[in-house]
Amino acid sequence: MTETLLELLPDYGAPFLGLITLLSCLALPVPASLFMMAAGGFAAAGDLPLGLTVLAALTGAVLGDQIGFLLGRGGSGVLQRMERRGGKQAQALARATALTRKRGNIAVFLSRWLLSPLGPYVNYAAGAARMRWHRFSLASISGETVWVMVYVGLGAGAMDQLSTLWPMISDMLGLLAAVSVALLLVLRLWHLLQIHRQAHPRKRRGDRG
Amino acid sequence: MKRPAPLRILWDHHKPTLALLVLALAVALFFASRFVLHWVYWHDQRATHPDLEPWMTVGFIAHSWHRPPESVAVLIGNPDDLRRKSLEDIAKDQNRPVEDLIAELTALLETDRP
Repeated sequence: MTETLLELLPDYGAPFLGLITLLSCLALPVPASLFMMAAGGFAAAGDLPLGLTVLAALTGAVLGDQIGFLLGRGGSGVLQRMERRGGKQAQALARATALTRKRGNIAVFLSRWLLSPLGPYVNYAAGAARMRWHRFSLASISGETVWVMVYVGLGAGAMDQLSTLWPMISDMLGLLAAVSVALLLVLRLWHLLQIHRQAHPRKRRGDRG
Repeated sequence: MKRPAPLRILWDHHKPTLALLVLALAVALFFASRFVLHWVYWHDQRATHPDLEPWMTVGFIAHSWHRPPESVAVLIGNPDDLRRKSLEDIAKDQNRPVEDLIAELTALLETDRP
């Protein structure tokens, strides 16, 4: 599947690359990073124009982010109703969405390139948490610029090692995403443990419940 | 008087979150071990030659092997009109499987070192 798509790249060029980066921002399983590296290689070989390639990849990615953000915003009403329902869960949800509105731009920026497997879900979450549009867009555009530059540059500079370098990069991205999710879960569990200990101080063995 | 172990508490009260953590760590371990395997393979490959893939064009191969495009086109047997054509397309034109073309071209590039 990936190879068939890659064969189409020199034929259909920059617009095709833009479509691939757009789809990848909506969590569709297309290997956009590999495509940008291959496009960088084609550009270095003179088969694709470099400037247009970069511009198309960037435009596709930013458009994809906007679509994901709007889809998330479409679901924000459901979250707001849940927040208004009251109770512990609703309070926790309200805290989470408030944190996303305040600090979400860092998550958006980093999940464009360093933690890219998480990117699409951050788009939906940012929309659903009603993050301000201009904050989201600024983080999205700057992050996607880093993403496109790194991969197209890598492809153009190290094309003789592309087929062996790519698997290592994709492993590293998967590892980084899994480790950061694990870290968030550890923080969450630690927090839950503190709550539990406050609620049950000096609990004895045998009377768990 | 001993307080129950943290893992015990979490297992009793927050199973889904703990299960998600175990899953995330398993995925991390999977990628870490695959990375090591790919790293070893990369070190073996680096000394020899860059792999050819069906999606690569003549220009792409020429550039990555540091050869002029014309010389690679000559090796394939058709010096005209090869730009932007992938090895897959060229193999189709020549009515043979792309693996054949890749094997032949790799051998030719190996012997024809400048």
